[in-house]
Amino acid sequence: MLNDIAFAFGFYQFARLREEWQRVSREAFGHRFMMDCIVPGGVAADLDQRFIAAMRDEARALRKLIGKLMAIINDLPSVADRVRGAGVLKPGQARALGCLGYVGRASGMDVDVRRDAPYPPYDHLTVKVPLHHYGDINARARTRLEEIAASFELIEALLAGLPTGSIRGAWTPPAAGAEGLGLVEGWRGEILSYVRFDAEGRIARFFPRDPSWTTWPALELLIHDNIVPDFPVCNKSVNGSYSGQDL
Amino acid sequence: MLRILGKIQRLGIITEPLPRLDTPALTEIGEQLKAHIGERFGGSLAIREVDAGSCNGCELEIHALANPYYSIERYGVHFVASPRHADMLLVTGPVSRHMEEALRRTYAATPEPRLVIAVGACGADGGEFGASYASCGAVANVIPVDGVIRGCPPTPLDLMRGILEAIGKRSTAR
Repeated sequence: MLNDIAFAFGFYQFARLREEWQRVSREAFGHRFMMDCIVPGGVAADLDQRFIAAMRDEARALRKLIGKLMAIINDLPSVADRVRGAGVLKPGQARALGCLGYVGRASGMDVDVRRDAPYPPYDHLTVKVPLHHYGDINARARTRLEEIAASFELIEALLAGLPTGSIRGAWTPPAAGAEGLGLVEGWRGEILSYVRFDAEGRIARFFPRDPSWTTWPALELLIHDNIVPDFPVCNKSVNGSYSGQDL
Repeated sequence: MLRILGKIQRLGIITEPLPRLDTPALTEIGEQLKAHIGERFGGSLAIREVDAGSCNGCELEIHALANPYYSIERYGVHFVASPRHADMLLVTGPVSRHMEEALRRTYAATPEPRLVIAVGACGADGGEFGASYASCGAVANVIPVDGVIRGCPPTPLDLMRGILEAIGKRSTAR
């Protein structure tokens, strides 16, 4: 987003912080985005003891650095000029579309599965859910930044209370015709998955509903009456997934 | 403004001169890339990135190429906002039916000689989405492809290596 408003300083500072975090992730989980770590029945590998302290330190350092960067960015009228009052999704529109995640939460939709229908490990944690009402690019950016701060708190709490014992339970093949619905909070918002098995225990139907189903239509509404150079900024502030909607 | 300057001065330059994570080293690939781009593209390779149905995982890593660690622009590679300005298309995702026509038009709008690289597990062979009523699968099912960079998603170094290979192949083929 900062790249799209040609604010090179902010773009490179945040890009470097992300790269550093991704490198820690790669060392600790074997993947820069921590993919393939959750498997049916548990997790793929245990977190090595030495990474617990390393990740805690990294989380604390990042939290401090992001705070400093935010103080700089909030101070700049040229940034404010591009993000305030642009790309507005009104709370009424967000409600009508059932918007999820940070797009909804920047427009007054106070929803987060981790808090509203907690599943482990969130049933033992306090999840702070940032909420804004202006619904402009600034509100979405702010929501996400506050979510980063909240996530660092969660990461610290999780690292401090990691349980010992087996990392994977036994996998029981589902009964014929079994069906189920799963709801988790992803970074874009609530992800819903429905699955049904056939008589041979194979998957008969599967439907994942990514939050992008609600945020792409929101983009169509919020770009109205915005100038062309603001489109990329509006688009990035929503950050929908093509796969999430089309496939 | 003073705070920005202060921050810039304190941080210094972090662009990697030496290998840290992978081999072959970043600079080694970079220098080869620069040499090929100098020889074949007059020192400047313009890439248009096309998201044809991706989850954005590949986009995040393609974006990472621009961060100060990899800083791919120093080797003459830059990303452009229109296929009409591009030498190469980097296409991600299984091609969703909604993006099929857009991808064909993007390809048609790219001036020849044009190179196309399919990026990621999905771009390579459809990945976990495969081909279905909603998905065309691999990029090669829709437009001609010169190179493939696998990975879910490929790391920034994988991407640099893949771009280098594709240019190298084209150089030797002519």
